[in-house]
Amino acid sequence: MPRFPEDLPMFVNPEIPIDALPSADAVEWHALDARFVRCRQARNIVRTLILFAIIGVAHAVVANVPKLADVGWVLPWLWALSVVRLAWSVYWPVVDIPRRGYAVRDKDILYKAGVFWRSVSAVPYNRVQHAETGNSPIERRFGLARLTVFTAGTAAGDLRIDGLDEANAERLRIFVVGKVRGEDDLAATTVDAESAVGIVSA
Amino acid sequence: MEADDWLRTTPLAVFFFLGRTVKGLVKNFANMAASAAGLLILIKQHVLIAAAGVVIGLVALVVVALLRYWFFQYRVEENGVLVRQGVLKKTQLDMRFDRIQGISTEQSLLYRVLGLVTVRFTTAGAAGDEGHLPAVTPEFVARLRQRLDAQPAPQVASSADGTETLLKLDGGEVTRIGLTDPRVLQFALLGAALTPAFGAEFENAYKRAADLASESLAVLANLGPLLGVLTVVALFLGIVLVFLLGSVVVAFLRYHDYELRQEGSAFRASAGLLTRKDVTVDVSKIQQLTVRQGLVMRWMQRHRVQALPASGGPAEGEVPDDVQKLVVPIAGAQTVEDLRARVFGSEGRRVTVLPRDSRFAPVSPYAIWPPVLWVGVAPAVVAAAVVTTMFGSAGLACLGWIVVVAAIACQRWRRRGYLHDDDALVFRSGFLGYRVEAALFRKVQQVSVSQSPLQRRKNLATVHVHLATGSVTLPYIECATAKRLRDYILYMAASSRLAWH
Repeated sequence: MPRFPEDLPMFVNPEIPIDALPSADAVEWHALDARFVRCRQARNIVRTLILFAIIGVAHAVVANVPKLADVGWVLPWLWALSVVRLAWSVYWPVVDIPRRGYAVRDKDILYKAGVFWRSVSAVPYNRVQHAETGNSPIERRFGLARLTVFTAGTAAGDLRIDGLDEANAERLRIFVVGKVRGEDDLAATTVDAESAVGIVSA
Repeated sequence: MEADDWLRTTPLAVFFFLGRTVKGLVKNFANMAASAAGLLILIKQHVLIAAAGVVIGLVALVVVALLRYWFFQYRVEENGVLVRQGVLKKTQLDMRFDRIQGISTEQSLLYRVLGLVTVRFTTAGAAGDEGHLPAVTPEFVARLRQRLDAQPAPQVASSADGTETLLKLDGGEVTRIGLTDPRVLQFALLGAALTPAFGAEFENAYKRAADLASESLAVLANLGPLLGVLTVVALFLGIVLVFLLGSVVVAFLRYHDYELRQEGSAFRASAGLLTRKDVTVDVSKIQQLTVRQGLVMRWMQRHRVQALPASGGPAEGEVPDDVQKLVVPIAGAQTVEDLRARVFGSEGRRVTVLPRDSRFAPVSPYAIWPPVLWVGVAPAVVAAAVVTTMFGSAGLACLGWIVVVAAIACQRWRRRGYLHDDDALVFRSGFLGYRVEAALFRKVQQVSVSQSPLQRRKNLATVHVHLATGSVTLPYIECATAKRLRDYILYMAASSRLAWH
């Protein structure tokens, strides 16, 4: 039944020796911006301070309402736990963030993360729906931004890179969008990848 | 219909809008509950006012439906369909033919008598709930379909015009659908679990029955305990039977006269006893093929197949349920393989989607460890420690939980397996039954490889393959294989000149 790609003017697809494929391991990873560690620490400290405020209010309530005296023993534990949390949230970014990184290749964009549970994700440009940069008030203060590359379908299929320099994030976004257009327009695949990568890593 | 002015559908579309208005009300459950409660209070005090309220409510419903009908207008243009609707909030929907992925129709009993259908468009954009044309004639739909077919489809050039019937379900098969519904088993087990809860009532009933019986038949009284057990068993069987019957009835309502056809480059399935639904899905739009086989289905050697097209759903979150997916409720092995061959075309020739194929490669047995450790050992040890301090050494029984979890984890590991050729990836999972997911490499949206500390030590990795319709995860395969697979998928996705959607 002549129906499917066989009889299309299709691209030629010769057998490729699998071992000869470019490996996503052999790329040069770009680290995130060095300021991102302090930015994350600042965010975590702000969050912990909010937690402290909530526990403080709870403490005041428990201390002044005699009926609640029975649950008073929880409070020291809560304080202790949130102090541990504070210490952890200052320490963890120092370990975690240097292990994150991204890489821009000719056909796809890669992101790696994780200390104990490590992962490497890759999105080919011709699957990208759109790309977006954005930042929170704290990130703005540090001059940082995140880049999100959206694919079709579920949110799990998107790629998000936090902690980029604002200008760099914007350049990356323009590069990705340009790449997407280049991939769309099959005839004009003359996007100069080398120079674009040069700009990005500059 | 070539005319430039706007058209209204037949007045019978009022019923469609009435249905949607009621549906909208039911969705706002809080409103409904509040008004129902108010009504109840009113009925108790002023019957007349309550009756008037009900009448006014019904009239309002009809008026709203009429208004919605009146303001619903459409127009068929050179390259698309325009729909203008809304009473207060006006919206205009512009569906271009080249964006329409398929036309589905739905025919309720009333419309069937009157020879009308409701058309639903599946578009790549998030048209969602709005792409409807209620109460139009089948001839109009046929012309629409012709228009759609006339659109040049870039990825499927020389589509055969022939229509081919792939599957027709007779009464026996539809009955089987009802019998094999896994929900029956689940509900029955739930019923079994609840039976002891009603034990006291059974006992009373049994006592009364036994009293009655002992007067007439002294023999039965001697059989007392046995009779009690028999009552419970009979009751359980009764519950199962009722569920089975209900399930068969539902199956007939949904799948009576099921027919699956291939029309050129699209699959078309139609079925239904009262309301007939007709779903058309273009082959090239299908992203993922899912084959399920429950326990009972396995015994009957049947499968349930789902083909998911790229949804026009929201960019974030889960794929919505109401996507027009192609469902083959029951199919033998040969039909399943035939469907696979048709969906994948010349690609993926060397894979199978039949769950019990010997070619499936197992994943590493280390996959059993994490669930046993985190769901089994950790909670069991904590529970055992707590219970032992409170009630003595009897608490050690909690450790039995580990055995249960280990058994489940082993069984799940045995179900897992994967298979791939140069074009397609197939992953099998399940617990009692099987679930097989298959997708073409070139339709992959994102791929990631992850490693836990255990996996790193054992040189294993997990591959997550994200598709436009969800994701497929290959856990605990050899690290080198995982990386090679990822690199190959990236190569296929980036180099394929065929559109993925």
